[in-house]
Amino acid sequence: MKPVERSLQLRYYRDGFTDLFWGLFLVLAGINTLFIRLERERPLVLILAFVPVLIIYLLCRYYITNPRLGYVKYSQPHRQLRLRILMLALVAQLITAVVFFFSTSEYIPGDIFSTLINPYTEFFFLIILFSVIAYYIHYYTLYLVGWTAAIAFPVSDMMSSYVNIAWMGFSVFFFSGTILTIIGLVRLIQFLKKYPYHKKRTDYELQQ
Amino acid sequence: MSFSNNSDWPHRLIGINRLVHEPARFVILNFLDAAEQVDFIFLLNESGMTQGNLSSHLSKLERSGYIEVEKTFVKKRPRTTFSITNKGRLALHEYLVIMKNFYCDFLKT
Repeated sequence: MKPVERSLQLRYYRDGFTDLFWGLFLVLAGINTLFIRLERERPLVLILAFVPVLIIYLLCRYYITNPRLGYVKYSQPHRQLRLRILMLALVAQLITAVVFFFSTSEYIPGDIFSTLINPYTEFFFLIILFSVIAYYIHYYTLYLVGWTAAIAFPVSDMMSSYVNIAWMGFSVFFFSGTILTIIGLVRLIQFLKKYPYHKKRTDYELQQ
Repeated sequence: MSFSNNSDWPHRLIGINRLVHEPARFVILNFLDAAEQVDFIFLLNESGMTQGNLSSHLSKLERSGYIEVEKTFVKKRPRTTFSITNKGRLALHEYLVIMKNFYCDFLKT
């Protein structure tokens, strides 16, 4: 990718909102995991908390980021690439949903299922998925998100004899999510300083 | 086209497209070549120029037919967007080829 195209691509992540979103997502995922592992009933607000986080993220991008960065209509190849990445993410979500469905049903014998779906295959699936997406959209923080989400599975499995795996999984998500949230906040402050909100009359004036 | 084997290379280099050669306009054309359309605020942020300076360069590019200018309103705010024309894209790519050949030939010698 040419430096100019890379610059266009990286403008998406300058505001820190994407880091904040993933940081909060990981923290919420950790809290959810803790409740599941402790076999406690999760409050509805905890299950649905991802929705307002996503909505706030989109609103911040629309009202805070876009007016400061300006408008760009990307080229056709760029838009097609992003569409393919979105399709990849949706297919991965679908696979996860199908696997979850089969894990709670009896269509596949338990021993075969546990051979195919175990902490280590889950680890590789998540690593590969997040790494491919991060590579193509040049959002490098997603590598950290992928590793954090994936490493919890095998680490919890390996440490299950020594520590309470409920708290182990929660700790990994919570620690990484907190770091990512702090990174997002720092980037947001830098972004707001560097990209002021332009006055209404800031526009092109034809020079004679 | 080889610069080092050609004795009239100074003339070819001096005759280069100065409209594209100017760093500010080169930056503008590169951004417009990479994206389909950008607005004034984007160019202001990316180039680091002042409003007047950027407008001056954009005016020259518009008069030369290298860029197209479109004025619209978004939520009662004026938005001026720019896109590169075929003439502008050709001029930019020709300039890049010439400069690339020049530097490659001179680095070899």
